[in-house]
Amino acid sequence: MQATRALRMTGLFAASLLLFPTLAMAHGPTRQKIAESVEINAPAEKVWAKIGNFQDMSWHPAVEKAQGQGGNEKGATRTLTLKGGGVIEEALEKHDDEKMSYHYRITNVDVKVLPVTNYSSWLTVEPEEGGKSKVEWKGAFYRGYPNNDPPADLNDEAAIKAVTGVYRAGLDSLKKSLEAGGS
Amino acid sequence: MSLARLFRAPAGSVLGGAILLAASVSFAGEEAFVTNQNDNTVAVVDLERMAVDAKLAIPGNPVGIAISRDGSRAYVTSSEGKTLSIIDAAERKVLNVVRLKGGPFGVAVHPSGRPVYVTDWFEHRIFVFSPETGEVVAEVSVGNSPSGIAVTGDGSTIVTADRDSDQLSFIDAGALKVKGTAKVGVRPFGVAIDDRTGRAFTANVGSNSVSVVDIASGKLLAEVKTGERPYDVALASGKAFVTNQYEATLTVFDADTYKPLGEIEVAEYPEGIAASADGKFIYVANWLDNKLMKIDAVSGRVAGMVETGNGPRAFGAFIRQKP
Repeated sequence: MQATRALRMTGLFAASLLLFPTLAMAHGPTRQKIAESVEINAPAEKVWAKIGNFQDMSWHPAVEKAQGQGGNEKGATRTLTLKGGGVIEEALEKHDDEKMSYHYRITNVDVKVLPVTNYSSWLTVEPEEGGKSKVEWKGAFYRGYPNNDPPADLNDEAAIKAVTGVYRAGLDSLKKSLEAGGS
Repeated sequence: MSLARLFRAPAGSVLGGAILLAASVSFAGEEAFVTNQNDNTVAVVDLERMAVDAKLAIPGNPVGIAISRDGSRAYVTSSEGKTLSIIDAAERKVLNVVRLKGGPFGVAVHPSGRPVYVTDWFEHRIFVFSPETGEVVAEVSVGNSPSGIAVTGDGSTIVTADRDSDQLSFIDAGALKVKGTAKVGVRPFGVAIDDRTGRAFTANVGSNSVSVVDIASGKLLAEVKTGERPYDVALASGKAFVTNQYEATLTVFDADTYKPLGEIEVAEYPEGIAASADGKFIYVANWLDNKLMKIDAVSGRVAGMVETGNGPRAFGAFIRQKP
């Protein structure tokens, strides 16, 4: 790990580590980021047609339904109801059919549903050679617990794990359905 | 950017060749030290070629950076690790990693090269750090959660953006005492000083604006509208450039009249921003897209781009002239 290597770089710092054993502990939340992607054996236009509508999250296996207003205009909203309960309210920041990308933000979610705060996200389709495409899903967020010493279910690791899980489930399911010839 | 464009030498002519040769000898160009918060590195970027020349391991999520005016040292804060790392810029070598108290965040260097000032996000103070002794030699209490920090070109005044007090603090650099404060917009974050006019510009994260304050009198001169979530400000060629985190844009306005001059699209989550010494180019670290962008300060055109590492923030004075 790079950090470990760096810590070994100076003897002085190594000595100070011994004096301050709590160094590795988090003090106040740090902004986290996740980027997950999948390559799909289908043209980018076809993939975008499936996921590019902000009001339609039927491609994600965890989403029961999406209800919203404003279509794909900046400021549009949607409320996602998850299978097994829980809702997430989101707002559209940017939508670009040409770049095949949209950017949205969570405006309201219970940390019991998704253990994050101040969450924003980007979903982008890029064409690749041979009629393939790459879908990238990025997120920026803070953990669910805003202060020091978070409980285990609301710490940085819990937030990263939850968001990564949402992205992987969506992307893997999307690949499967599009490569199976689904529309 | 090519030197040919700078000097407008006729392409292929003997004269043009001679000018290019002379220029490349006398003008070594600039480089950026970019803190990559999410992979614990600092990337050294040649700003002529827009290429990463070196990467240094810096522990604890590096965020803030300040390079001494002579270009010899880079100081890097790590918010998570609570450290100040000292880099020999020419040798690309980490000389020391010093643990500080509280939450070190913003950093600035006195024009003379010492001391170094670090804002403490948690305890509402700045640390005054001596590069000679490698220790904090004094502390100055300021407003709540000081984030950005800058020093006037004459070295007389330190300015902090006290985020949770919605104010700037002006500190006498000799006496190390707060000599005044100024109320600004909501949650000021980055701060830049225009030494031509003696004005401080601070980006208000909470009110989508930049406040302009006269440093000598503490008087609020203007509040200029920006895009969503302005983060930091750079000044070049009489213009102010503001990174809008949520909109992936720069707001540009006239630094003297505050007249809006438009917006420039950049990559996602623009944060740290700084100008070349000649004011011709603006460099922007894009935290989400892992890119440092080079933008022509006159035309607003994107002149180059390079991947620096994971989570570039480059919060502070991150450019130096190569010797």
